[in-house]
Amino acid sequence: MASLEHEEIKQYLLGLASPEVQRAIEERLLTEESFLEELSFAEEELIDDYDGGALPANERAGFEQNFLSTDERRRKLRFARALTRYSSEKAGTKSAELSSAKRTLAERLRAFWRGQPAWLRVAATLALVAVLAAAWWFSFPRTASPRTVVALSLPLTASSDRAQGAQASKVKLNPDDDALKISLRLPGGLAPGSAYRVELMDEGGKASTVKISEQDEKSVSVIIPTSQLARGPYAIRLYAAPAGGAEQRVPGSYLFTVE
Amino acid sequence: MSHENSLTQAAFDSLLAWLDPDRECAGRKYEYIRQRLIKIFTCRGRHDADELADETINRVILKAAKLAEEYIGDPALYFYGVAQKVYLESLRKRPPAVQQPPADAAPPEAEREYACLDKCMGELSAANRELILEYYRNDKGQKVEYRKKLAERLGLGQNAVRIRAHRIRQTLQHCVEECLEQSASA
Repeated sequence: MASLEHEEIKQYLLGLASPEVQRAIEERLLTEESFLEELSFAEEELIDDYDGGALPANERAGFEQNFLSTDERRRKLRFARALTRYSSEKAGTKSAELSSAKRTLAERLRAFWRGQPAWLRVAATLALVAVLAAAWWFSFPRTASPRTVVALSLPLTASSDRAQGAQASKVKLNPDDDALKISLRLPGGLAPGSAYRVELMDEGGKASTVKISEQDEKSVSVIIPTSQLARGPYAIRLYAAPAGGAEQRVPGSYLFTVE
Repeated sequence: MSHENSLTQAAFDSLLAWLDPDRECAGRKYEYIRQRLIKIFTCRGRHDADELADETINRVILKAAKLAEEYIGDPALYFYGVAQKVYLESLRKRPPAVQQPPADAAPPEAEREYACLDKCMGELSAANRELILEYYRNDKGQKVEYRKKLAERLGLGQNAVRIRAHRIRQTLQHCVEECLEQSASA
């Protein structure tokens, strides 16, 4: 029996084989049990080629006129189409899942962003700018401007004056008062352009630096939140540092009592 | 059938005896020859392959007693000779009808088909399921190269992968057709 090539079997299935090849194949089909499966392979490949558009015109015609003559083969073609569609869909899903899993968060966000309509992207950009601006604004530490401020102007009291019974200025703070603004009058003899530092000392001798809010040639002002001022006597010490010179305490204290 | 009236049990027994002295074995050979004749007529584009195969067998049965005495060689090849004549006669009587390729299933039917495929895929082993899905995925003209890589990945020869895919496909097709029949009758 002649050895049959794959192409000869294909031509036979299409009804395009020579009489000699046809006879050789059919005799083999009758006498060789395993040949049926080989023929069946070739049929499936032919179906796949037809369905995939891989057959030239004459073979395509042979397929439709000869091969598709039985219901069994038509069912095979239909099943092949369903199987290819199913496999491709499943492969697509799997591939999408894999590629999705490999994408970084940034890539996913970018893909999501590109998928949105233009108006939504503009709106989202503006909202983001506003949020960032607000975050920047609130990230800076700042002292809220007090709504209600009690003003007090104090002269410097020398130690000798205290010894002679000089009275401290008294200030009464209401619960609604937010802060006490104290203007410290500067004594004479201080070098112009000096830098100042103010220290607040409570009754127990605990000292804390107070930030200067204003200063001019005659006075230095500080604002102390009322929350830091319990009732009792306080002394403010002033330190001055002339330009290029060392800081020195200005003799004397500014005295006041919170009632 | 033209020879229906002449066919007797004795003639059929003669045919079986000619095919093989063992009656059971003869019965298997008879069925084998019948199936192969159907395949041959199918390959020749005959939608009436069953009828033509039976006509061939009937003609041989009528001569079985004589053949048993005179014919030397494989009985299957004698059947083949008769089948050639039957085929030529059938061409004169009923030329093969050209049929249009089947259309894709309509949406409700396609859904049932898909559901059945899904169910039958679920009945396969994980390895077989993966192989069949990979083997039949549509790769836009790169099928040959893709299947070659698949064989390499599985550590098998290309022919071994082809045979395995073919057998899985047959199992699947059988399962899907049964499933569709059940869902149609439900």
